[in-house]
Amino acid sequence: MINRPLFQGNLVHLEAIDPEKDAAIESLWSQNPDYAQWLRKDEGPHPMMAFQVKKKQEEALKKSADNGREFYFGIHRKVDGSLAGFLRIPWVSWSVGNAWLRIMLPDEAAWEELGSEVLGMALTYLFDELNIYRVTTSCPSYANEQIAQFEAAGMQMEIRACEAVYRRGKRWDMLRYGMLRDEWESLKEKSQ
Amino acid sequence: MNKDVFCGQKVRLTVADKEKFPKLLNEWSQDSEFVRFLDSDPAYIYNTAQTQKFLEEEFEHNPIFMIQTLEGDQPIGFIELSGIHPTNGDAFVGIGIGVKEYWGKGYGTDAMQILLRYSFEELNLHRVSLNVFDYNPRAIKSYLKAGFKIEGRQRNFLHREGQRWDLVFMGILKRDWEQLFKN
Repeated sequence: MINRPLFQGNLVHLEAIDPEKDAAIESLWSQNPDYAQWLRKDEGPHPMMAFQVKKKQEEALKKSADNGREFYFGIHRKVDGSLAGFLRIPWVSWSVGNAWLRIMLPDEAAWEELGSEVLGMALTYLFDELNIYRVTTSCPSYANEQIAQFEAAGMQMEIRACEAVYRRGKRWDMLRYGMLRDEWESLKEKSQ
Repeated sequence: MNKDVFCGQKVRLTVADKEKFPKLLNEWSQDSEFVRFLDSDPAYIYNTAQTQKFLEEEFEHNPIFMIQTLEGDQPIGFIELSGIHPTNGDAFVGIGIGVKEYWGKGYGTDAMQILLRYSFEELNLHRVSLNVFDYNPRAIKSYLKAGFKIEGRQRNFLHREGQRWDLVFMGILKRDWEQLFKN
């Protein structure tokens, strides 16, 4: 229905990213290498200073406004309005209806608390508002909570890239998960 | 130690010339079949200046090579590494053979062998990955011959010619390459 609130959940709501406020918080989160590994594509995980994060956030927002194929949201807790994470759709290919999803929550505890709702809101936005055909996301094989959330949401593991990640002194696989539109529609039907 | 790292049995890899390469790439890209094998974005024709700018930005830090035949020194394609990750030791390889008469004759496989040797013995990478569309079985066969394994598929990734196609993801580990091809 058109009056369904896309940006409001029970625990969180989505807002525009505000680099003036959000960068300092994300800089703190970047001290966790599990979080920092997603901040810079081709570099090892390392903490970023607030001004570096602010620049990245501003660049992302500008690219999003210019190219219309990237979408970024701040995730805020309803109870106190505090920033809880980011919902990033860093790539949409409109011609084939594909999108990449990256949910950034600061740690496994946040994934356990908020992952299910945020993932549900993300998939709703992607399939029911952006009209995407397939969604892809990924996580390393040590990210047990993320794996649990992706699979509980009905996403299928499609790729296991053997030993593609080096973290915590060990090699891990990189897992890619996908969901197709008809799978989303089928899940929606079952939940009604 | 004297072996030419960039030389194979049928081809050598050479530096991509800043002026010649964009012109060649544009020439090859007039054939939409070549473009459709290479890229998931809609097939499109760019002018040389646009291609040059794209190459300068895209490959400022990543190695890109022309593929040149040993016999006749003809440039027939390109091969490149991207997303080289310093801690994961992973990179993506992309290859395109732009001159159709060299398809299916082992020239691409030879170029890939050179690139893998460079990746593992010079760059000390741990693994190399690639994506290929499942409507390109010739390329999949070549990559399997070069030692890559299929690690999964992104289902219905592409929509072309009224049909959905999978994206096939492949990878090769250094230790597997060494077992197959070293000594």
